[in-house]
Amino acid sequence: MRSTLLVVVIVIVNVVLLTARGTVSGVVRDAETHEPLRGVTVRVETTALGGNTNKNGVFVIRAVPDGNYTLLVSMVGYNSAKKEVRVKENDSVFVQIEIKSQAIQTSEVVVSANKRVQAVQDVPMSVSTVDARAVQQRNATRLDDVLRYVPGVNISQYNVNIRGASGFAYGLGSRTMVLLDNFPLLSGDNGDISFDALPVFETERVEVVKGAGSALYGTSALGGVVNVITREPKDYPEFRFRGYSGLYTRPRFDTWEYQERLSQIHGFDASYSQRIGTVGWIMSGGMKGDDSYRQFDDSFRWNLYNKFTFAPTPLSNVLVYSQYAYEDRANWLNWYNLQYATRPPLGTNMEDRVRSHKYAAGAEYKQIISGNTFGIIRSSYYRTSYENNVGFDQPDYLASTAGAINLEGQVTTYLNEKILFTAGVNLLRNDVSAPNLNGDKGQSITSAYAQTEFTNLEDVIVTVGGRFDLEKTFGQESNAQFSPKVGISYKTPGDGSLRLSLGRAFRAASITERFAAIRFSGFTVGRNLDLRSETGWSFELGATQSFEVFSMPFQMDAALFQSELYDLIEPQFVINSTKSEIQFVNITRARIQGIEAGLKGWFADKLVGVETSITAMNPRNLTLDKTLTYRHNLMWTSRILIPINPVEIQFDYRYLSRQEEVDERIVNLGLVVNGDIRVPIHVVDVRVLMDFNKFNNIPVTVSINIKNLFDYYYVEVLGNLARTRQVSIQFDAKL
Amino acid sequence: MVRLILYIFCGCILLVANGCDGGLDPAMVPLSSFIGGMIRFKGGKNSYPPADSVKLLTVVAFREVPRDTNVLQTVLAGNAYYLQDALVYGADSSEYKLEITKTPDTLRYICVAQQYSGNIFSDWRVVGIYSLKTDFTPETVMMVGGQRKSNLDITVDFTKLPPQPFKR
Repeated sequence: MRSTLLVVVIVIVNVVLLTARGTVSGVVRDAETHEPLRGVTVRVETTALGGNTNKNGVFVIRAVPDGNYTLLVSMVGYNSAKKEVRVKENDSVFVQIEIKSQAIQTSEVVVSANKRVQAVQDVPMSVSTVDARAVQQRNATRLDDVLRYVPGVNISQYNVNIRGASGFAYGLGSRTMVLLDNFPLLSGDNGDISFDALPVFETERVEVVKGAGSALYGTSALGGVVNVITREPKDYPEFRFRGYSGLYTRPRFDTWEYQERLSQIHGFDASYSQRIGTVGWIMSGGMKGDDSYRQFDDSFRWNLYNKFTFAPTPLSNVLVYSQYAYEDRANWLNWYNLQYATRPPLGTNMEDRVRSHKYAAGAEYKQIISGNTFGIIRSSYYRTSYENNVGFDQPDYLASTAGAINLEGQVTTYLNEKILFTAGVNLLRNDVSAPNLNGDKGQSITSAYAQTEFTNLEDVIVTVGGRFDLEKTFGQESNAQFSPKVGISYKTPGDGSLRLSLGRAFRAASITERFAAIRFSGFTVGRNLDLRSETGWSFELGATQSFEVFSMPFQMDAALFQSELYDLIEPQFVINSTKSEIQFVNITRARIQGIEAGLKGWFADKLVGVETSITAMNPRNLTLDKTLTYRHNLMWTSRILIPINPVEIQFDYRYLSRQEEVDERIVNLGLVVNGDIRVPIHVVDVRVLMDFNKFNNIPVTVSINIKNLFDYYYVEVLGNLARTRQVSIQFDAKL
Repeated sequence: MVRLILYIFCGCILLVANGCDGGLDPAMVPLSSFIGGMIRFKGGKNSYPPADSVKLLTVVAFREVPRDTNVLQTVLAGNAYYLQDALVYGADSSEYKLEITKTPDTLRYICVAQQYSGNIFSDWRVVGIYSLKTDFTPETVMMVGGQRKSNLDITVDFTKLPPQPFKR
């Protein structure tokens, strides 16, 4: 009865609100060919309104309240565009928009920085994006394959490290908040990222916000936020398929060969999406197998993903998603020694495999409430479970089942023409059941946040906000955190922008860090009930400038950043008379100072497209007066595109300076033989893509991918050989 | 102009390619060096202290004469090597072989150390040292890559311990 009443109320509210509103429609064309473009996303800035163009390039956005708006137009492979419109009651506005094809985008539309759609130039923090095309072309099958190419980001096993905020923490705790379509996706037990749980094949773009993000996202956003935005259902049936197969080439050293045959990789993804009227859906699934370049390191995984959208009225929108991911992999971390770097240590249980299941489901309801006000209610559940097969009574037995419930309500409204106000409440509940926890454990974080964006001065946006979080973990005292932030962005004359931001962030210790007594890849991790939240402040001053040289478009970006980190939770070797174990303790006061500079554009009459970025840092452990462990002082990523229609050749190059410091104690105790041997990282990936659509209209792309072209051998964490050369052929079709 | 840019581009490619050719190599592992010898326990089994006061008995090779009883911290800091397999309690004699992983290296104090109580960080005493003299003067041993010295014998006399080097 109550639910019926609620539906009736919603319908009445929508009917009332729908009256006296205008319509924005238009056509979007390619700026060079003037052909209409299909599948372009058009959004009304500061509102939840938007739509996609149909096969004639036409879009229609209804129920737009009276007012002045900016339309944000974006499509993969094209530069984003803005269009100002004036909407009057019961009136229709028709606009014509042309967007430029561009292999290297110099403007993007993002949602992660301020929990609303906006142009990246208006954001007071550094935001990097990776679009669907780059994800697909790189044959990325997991999120870490994507993030390794983002400027200022590197991956240490399962830790995403944005501008040096994270090191290597044995798979526990994440100083980067990870979201899937704005739903948090960190596990309830370890607080970690499961890269395979994210539907990479359905990725529209990946947004990486660098710097403290707790003022909007709460715990874990100490180093930044990664938001994976998935595709929207198109208004036409679309079937997509990707299949690939490949192998690892033979290593250069005889002692690294452990079998006669070459190890293989193979996999496929398939997806169907369609929108009929107000209902749209995406169904997707895939399977991947990897023999690995190391002995007893194979893995097999598969996943399903569903997304359902429904617009009951032009003023409201419902999104429901669900996904499942399964992985079966061997379970060892460090090599036998460098002489036999592709083999596990002696005594490794070759039968030890970890099987994990990740389920996630969520729903979001968006409603235009009145005028320029919209609200969002979001709820999700993320369940992870894993278990190895060594037997319950064995010391290496590993198992955990965790559930994370997230509830969030958000309202965004224009208080007047110059002030945009966003506020929300959030409840996060983690529950963990694991044999090594000494009983089931729970953790709740209740939060409220508010943010105001002032645009009183022309071309200046001032953002002020803050978030209050109250964390309560089983058996522990409550922990309150307040994370304020302030940001300024200024559009300079001549297509540039300046940005300035200062914010505080925190990360509450995960349940596993506090309570677990587990073994991870041969290491025993001990409990520490006294762990406190780690906190930090980050500051950034940045600038972006677009310009042309000989009619070639370029964009430069530079940023100075500094983070002050307190009570960092770091793994520490604690040794007593009967055993040695890793325990997580609050030990480190750290400071990270750095500079990041990037350039992208076209050279030589559009013969060569280049995207390059360099990050130089000084990550200091002030407690010990030395460099923080597992950090690279210098990171350089570059991408080169050479389009020779219908073929395109692409190069990716990653350089990371040698990690100055690792945990030498592990080496000195003899736990990881040759663990102190490490080198700078130089990795070149190359791919050749042939787009058959360009010369005979067959919607198929065939690409040859060579990852780690020069078979450069390196480690990302000590004693763990990173991926060697891999050659694969990939087949992409879209019908 | 275009040609210049292409030259720069090709130069960068060559530079990158040059840097990318290599990385880790098994040859980077320093040639293993070992010290070893015979440990004789004067008086045999009956000379040992009670078993509950011999928590751990091991060989430790220090770079410098240890001044701190926190032997483990010295090992963790990379300033000493220790025998991972503890010596067997009650043996009349034991052979030992200790890998020196960072060569060249100089070892100024090689000893048999006993953890006599529960605190592994502090409860250590020296029960025998490698010395060629009867006054327990420690011998300095220099090691280079691939070198093996297997005659560094140590005598342990639980009734006559060598002077303890520790300041506390």
